[in-house]
Amino acid sequence: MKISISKNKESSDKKKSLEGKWQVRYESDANLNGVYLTQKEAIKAARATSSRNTDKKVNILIVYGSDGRLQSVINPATNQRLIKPAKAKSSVNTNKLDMAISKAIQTRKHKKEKSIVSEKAECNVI
Amino acid sequence: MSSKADFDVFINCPFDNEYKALFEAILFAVYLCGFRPRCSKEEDDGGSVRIEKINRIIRECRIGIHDISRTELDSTNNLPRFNMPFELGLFLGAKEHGGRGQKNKICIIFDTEDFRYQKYISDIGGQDIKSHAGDPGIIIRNIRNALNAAPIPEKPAIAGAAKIISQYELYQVDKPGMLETLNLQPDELTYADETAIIQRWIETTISL
Repeated sequence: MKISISKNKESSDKKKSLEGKWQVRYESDANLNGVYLTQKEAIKAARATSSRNTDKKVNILIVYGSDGRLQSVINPATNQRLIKPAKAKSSVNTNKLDMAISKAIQTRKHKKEKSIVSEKAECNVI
Repeated sequence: MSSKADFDVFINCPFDNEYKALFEAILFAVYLCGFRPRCSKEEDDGGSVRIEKINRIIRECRIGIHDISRTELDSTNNLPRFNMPFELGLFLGAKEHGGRGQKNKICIIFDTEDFRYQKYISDIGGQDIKSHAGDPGIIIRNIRNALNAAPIPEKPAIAGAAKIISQYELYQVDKPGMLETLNLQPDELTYADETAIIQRWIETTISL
């Protein structure tokens, strides 16, 4: 199971008190599991939650930066990055790379949905 | 307690176009298993002597993946390439004669067919040589199983081979679109760019 840590950007009146704060959230849970002033505190709390989790179901900690971009994916047991950063220095701009990746993933998912719809339509015709 | 070297994997394989698909599969499998690939292509520093660079990377890696399958004669010179068996020898030498930190090195050796190596490098008989038949799926499965069996403390749980292969196939579907957005051609992709794209793609898909 995953826990994510991200900065709240909600500006609605209802959630005004959360604005700018760091929130910890379980993957499967729509509710917040904690709100913290700093990212460091939120990570610490998420790690504590995962270590209390005796059946080791919490095994991925996803950390987003204050700009909302994915920062790192961490193994909460060791506090090390799950996917080790490359040793070689790439000239590819990371913002552009993130954009390219999400665009490609979206395109693939869209194509898959489209093919499922057309398959269903074919079945209906038959 | 594990060290940085425990998760660094030295990749010793051909770097030509013919081997590109397998090389990419190796990089993908190593990253997705939570390890970091290292090879002589990671630095474009013309100033450092190649053998020194290779020796340093070997010293810094606990695990080595060696593909000794390229035995064909070079079309230009009509001679075989000896780099891969030579670097395998350096790795085994470090394990045998190196200091305490080198003794626990893990060696994963590949050839195209079972027992073919006996005809050209019989001295490595007795090692567990795996065959890949030029198939990225087979090489991913074998790498996953070998890394999963590696006795490394604090190693994260590694996904099953079928899951890693299906992720690799999805990556292959996404790759042309990513390169198009980045204005890059597949043949001009450097090692640094390739590893950065694979690493970030895996991180992004995990977070979704």
